[in-house]
Amino acid sequence: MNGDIRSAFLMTEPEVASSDATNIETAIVSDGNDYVINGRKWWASGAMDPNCKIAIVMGKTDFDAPRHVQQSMILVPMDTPGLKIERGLSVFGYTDSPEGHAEIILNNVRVPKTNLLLGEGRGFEIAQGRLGPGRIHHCMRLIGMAQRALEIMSERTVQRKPFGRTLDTYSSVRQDIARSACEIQQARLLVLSAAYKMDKVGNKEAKDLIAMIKIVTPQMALKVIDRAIQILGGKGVGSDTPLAHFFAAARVLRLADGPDEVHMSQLGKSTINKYIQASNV
Amino acid sequence: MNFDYSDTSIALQEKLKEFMEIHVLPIEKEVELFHKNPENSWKRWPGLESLKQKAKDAGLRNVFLPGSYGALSAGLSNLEYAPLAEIMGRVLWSSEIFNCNAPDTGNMEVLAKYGTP
Ligand SMILES: Cc1cc2nc3c(=O)[nH]c(=O)nc-3n(C[C@H](O)[C@H](O)[C@H](O)COP(=O)(O)OP(=O)(O)OC[C@H]3O[C@@H](n4cnc5c(N)ncnc54)[C@H](O)[C@@H]3O)c2cc1C
Repeated sequence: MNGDIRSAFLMTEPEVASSDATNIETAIVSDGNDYVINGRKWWASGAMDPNCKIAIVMGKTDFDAPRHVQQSMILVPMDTPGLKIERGLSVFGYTDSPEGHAEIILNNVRVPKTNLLLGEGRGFEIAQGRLGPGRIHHCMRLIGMAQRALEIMSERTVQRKPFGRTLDTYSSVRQDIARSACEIQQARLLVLSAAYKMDKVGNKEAKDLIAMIKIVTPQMALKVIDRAIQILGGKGVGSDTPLAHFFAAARVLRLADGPDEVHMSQLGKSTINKYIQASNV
Repeated sequence: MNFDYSDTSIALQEKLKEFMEIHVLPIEKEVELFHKNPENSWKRWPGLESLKQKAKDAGLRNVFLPGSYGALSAGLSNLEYAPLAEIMGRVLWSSEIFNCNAPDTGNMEVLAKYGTP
């Protein structure tokens, strides 16, 4: 909590479709007073950082239990024997050093039983609690990126003069900027309404709104950043402005913390349920 | 629904904006270049710790933890914190200065909730 050390979250695995967390196959096997962990993880953000000292690992403590209570979460210090960082991954070439995203092998990693969080079979429960506020944070940071992209492109319009007049006088440019301003504010208000609902009635009741912001915000940010890149021309894809890196960072968030399709599937199902229930009465 | 920011949130937004103007934006490029240099792969930018201390002194650390986490948190609601995350989002590497970076925030919440200190 002091911010002296950093941590990583190891759920996703290269061998299985991890957008469905019930697929996760890392084994957490009880052995006396310890658990022994075996598996391979990747996209563990933050794990390359030399200050990363602890990982929360998701895996199966009971392969035969009902699907949603097979998983548990356990704390593993990064220096535990058997935990090996295989490599740092890159996102469109950005390594995101120093935090990075790691592929990690867990080979007979042994930790005391007391490292298990909450209890065997309760990994899903924790995962669901964990991702609510995190999504608000990601989405608000995306809005910050989109807002800055809007400011950068607006400034640029009065500086460049193709075909005899400055960009700000072209109606297509004004439309790009107007649409961006609308979409940023739409997303901002949606995120604030999700935050408001979480504060008033809790993460669980706010889950539909949380799904909505996770679907809407990364796509909005990508669209706005893309327009900014276009208006800046070559400068937009280079490294003299933050736009190119913003684009890569926003693109990731259509996948990380669950791909768009998974959130849409859940939101779609929940919306249908709401209305079939209403029409039954 | 009322999305007006509380006085606490507005005061922190002002403080955070000022911090970003004075301490972060002027060195944004320098830090990016440091990390782009392959020789610095997986090394921390040496100026980060002093920046973190400055943020702590300014009362801008751990602002993300909801009020229900007691003494550890700045006591902000999600609605109060949201505009602060927006300000941090403007510079990709800045949230760590305030201990508000992913995935640590999610992990810290898990530990604050289920862990034993
Ligand atoms: C930069 C980055 C950082 C990350 N950080 C972390 C981290 O710190 N910790 C961690 O554990 N993971 C992390 N992840 C992993 C991320 O959460 C997963 O990539 C994501 O959950 C998808 O899992 P997968 O890659 O196994 O894709 P798969 O499960 O193989 O899915 C592939 C595609 O299938 C499609 N799909 C899936 N479900 C449906 C559906 N119901 N309907 C229609 N289509 C569907 C989607 O388009 C999806 O993208 C990170 C990823 C990236 C890129």
